[in-house]
Amino acid sequence: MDEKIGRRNFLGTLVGWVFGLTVVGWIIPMIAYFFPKSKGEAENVFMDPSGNPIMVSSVLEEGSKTGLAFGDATVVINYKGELRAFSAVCTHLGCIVSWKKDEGIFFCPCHAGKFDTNGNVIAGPPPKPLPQYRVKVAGSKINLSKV
Amino acid sequence: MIVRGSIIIRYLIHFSFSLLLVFIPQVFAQEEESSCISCHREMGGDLAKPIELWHESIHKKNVISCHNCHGGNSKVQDMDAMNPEAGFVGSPKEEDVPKFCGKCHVAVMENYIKSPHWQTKKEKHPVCTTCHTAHHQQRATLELINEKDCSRCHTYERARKIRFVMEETEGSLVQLDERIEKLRGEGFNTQRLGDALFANRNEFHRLTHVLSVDLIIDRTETIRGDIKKVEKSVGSDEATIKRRKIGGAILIAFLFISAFIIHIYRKTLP
Amino acid sequence: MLKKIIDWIDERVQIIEVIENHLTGHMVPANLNLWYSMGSVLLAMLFIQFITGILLLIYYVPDVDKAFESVTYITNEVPFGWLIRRVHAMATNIFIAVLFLHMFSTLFMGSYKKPRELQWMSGSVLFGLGFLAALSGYLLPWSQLSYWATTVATNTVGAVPFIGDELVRGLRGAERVEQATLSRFFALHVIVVPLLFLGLVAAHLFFMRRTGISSPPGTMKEEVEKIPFVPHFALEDLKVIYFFLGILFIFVFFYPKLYFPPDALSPADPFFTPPHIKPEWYFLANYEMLKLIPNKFLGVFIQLAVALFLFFLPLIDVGSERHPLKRPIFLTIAILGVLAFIALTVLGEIL
Repeated sequence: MDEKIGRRNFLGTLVGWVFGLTVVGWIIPMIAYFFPKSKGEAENVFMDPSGNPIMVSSVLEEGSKTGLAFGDATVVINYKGELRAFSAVCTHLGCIVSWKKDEGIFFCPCHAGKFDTNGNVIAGPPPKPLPQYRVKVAGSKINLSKV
Repeated sequence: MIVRGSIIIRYLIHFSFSLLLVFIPQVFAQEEESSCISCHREMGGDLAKPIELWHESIHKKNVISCHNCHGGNSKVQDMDAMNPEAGFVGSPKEEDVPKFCGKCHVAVMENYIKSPHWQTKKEKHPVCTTCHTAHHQQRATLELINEKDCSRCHTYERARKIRFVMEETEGSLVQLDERIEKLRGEGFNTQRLGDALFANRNEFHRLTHVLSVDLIIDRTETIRGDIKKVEKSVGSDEATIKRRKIGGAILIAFLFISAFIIHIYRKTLP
Repeated sequence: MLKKIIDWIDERVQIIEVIENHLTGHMVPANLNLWYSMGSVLLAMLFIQFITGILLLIYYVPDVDKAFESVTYITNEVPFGWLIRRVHAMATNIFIAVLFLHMFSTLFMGSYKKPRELQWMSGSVLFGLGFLAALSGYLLPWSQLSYWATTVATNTVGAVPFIGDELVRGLRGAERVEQATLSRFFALHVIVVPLLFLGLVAAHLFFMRRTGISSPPGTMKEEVEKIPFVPHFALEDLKVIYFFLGILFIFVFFYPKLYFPPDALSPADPFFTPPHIKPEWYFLANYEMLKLIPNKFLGVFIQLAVALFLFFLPLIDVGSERHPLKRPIFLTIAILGVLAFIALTVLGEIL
């Protein structure tokens, strides 16, 4: 008789654990759910692929420079003395656009997409404009931030 | 009785199929057809052939239609659709083909005109359509370089070398492409990875149009570096999937064991 | 401490008495079989849908330009977002499957008969509500699958004579599926349907408590032994619930492609219909029937008639005999009905 009661008590405790674990198992993901990864909106230094900052002077001299910011290809141009920065990733299929100084456009070599100096599409298949970044000159470096 | 039953069933099946034919186009006939297609299909024969070919092409898959290359007014239902003033070009002369395709495939054309294929002094030289066909273009693979096609004009030797130096990089591009597609199937947002891979692939394929083994070897290293980056990202996502499956298996085991524990506990109650 | 709190509450609202009356003191027949736990499984699934639904709502944006993006954000950036979404989508399938089982068992055991007619009727409305919830929720991710499934589904209403076109426009809020449709389906899915669910489930359970649970057919009421609902029968219920949760998570973790096919992974494109658009498995029978019957109106009419017949079944089938083998006519009709449903579903899948 005692053995039976002991068995019942043991199983009862086990069932209690089952319910407890179930509740905890539900609640942990639910709390984590409220804390999405941060989007990394912080400012980002414009640099070359090996991680060295690209100088303001080199952009001004050469008219344009393609480098990295926010972990992706980015292009900064000298537009009538003003620095403008865009994502260099074509919104069509992800090729890297280049700045055509003579025509004043960004040009994608893959399918002939063209963008104007505000990043808007003027020709070709790209569905969306190039995202533009805010430019802040810090000393000789270029700091970019997402708009 | 049985015979009659089977006739009825056969009739029903036949009937349902014919209904299907009536019903489905009604639901799905949302896509608008250009006048190019409707006219040319009616004409039949050689004039209709390009439509069939195009239907199986990568251009169709990417919603590139007749007028995107041939120009003209694809909305007009008469001969004015083929007005040269609206930019209509029917069938370009052979020497104009690179320019014709180069409207969109700019960098490919730039590289191609540097190549012996274009530079050759011979009277007949291969253009885009010689290898890629005129309307049945497929997604480019290494299979385009093969003995049968290349030896239509010259020996395969040099082409074999080009194919050889491309093989490894091309192989990893193809393999990564499949892995990314699998990730997508699992619900991952693969837009960025897919784009990065496409850009690499495109750069690589563009480059090979120069037909220079040295150039390919020279640039392969940079491209492979970029591909490695994509590969790393894909690998970490695949690891995530694996971890989720293990977690899932544990959870499922817990639930079934719990059901069993509750079952035997219930049995001990008076 | 806990006891003190309970005592404090009990002193004021006599909570222990309520518990005794409705849980431990609630006696149910001892010979209830597995089928009697389906209702509890449904309640558990409904609970899961409410919780996961609220969680999804925190990040979801009901805008045609942002809906797909926000869902992608949930499944890729939000911790466990992928899990919550998969559970929400898959639990629908389990819910509907168990709903079928619940209804079939009631049908075959004749449990809908007097005095339980109201339970059956509230249940059959809940049945329809389940489908409405599934249909309205289907559009919200604004994927190719959502868009075209909704386009085809709303189209079928056009078969109603005279006012068909108006009805379609009313459902969509526009000529075609667009922002207006998304907005009204959103309202339907997140507030109207859940509120109706709460009210009807409450009524359904209230009726059950008033009439008592039916004992399986073939046993006399007087000779049946009774057991308390809590803990004895509640444990039986929990066992079955855990079992179905196990099944739910098998699909959640290992077969996501079953409920998220490739078309669910690309954003809606109103100008491109993907090939092979098919409704979910639980709509296949209706879909196939509409295709097989030449006259569209007749198809809709027959479905309406079947639905009404099912709703009024307890008022039509008034005999007091509940054992299925002693009701040959009923059994024949019921089996034929179930077979027809299965056949139509299979046909819908393969054709």
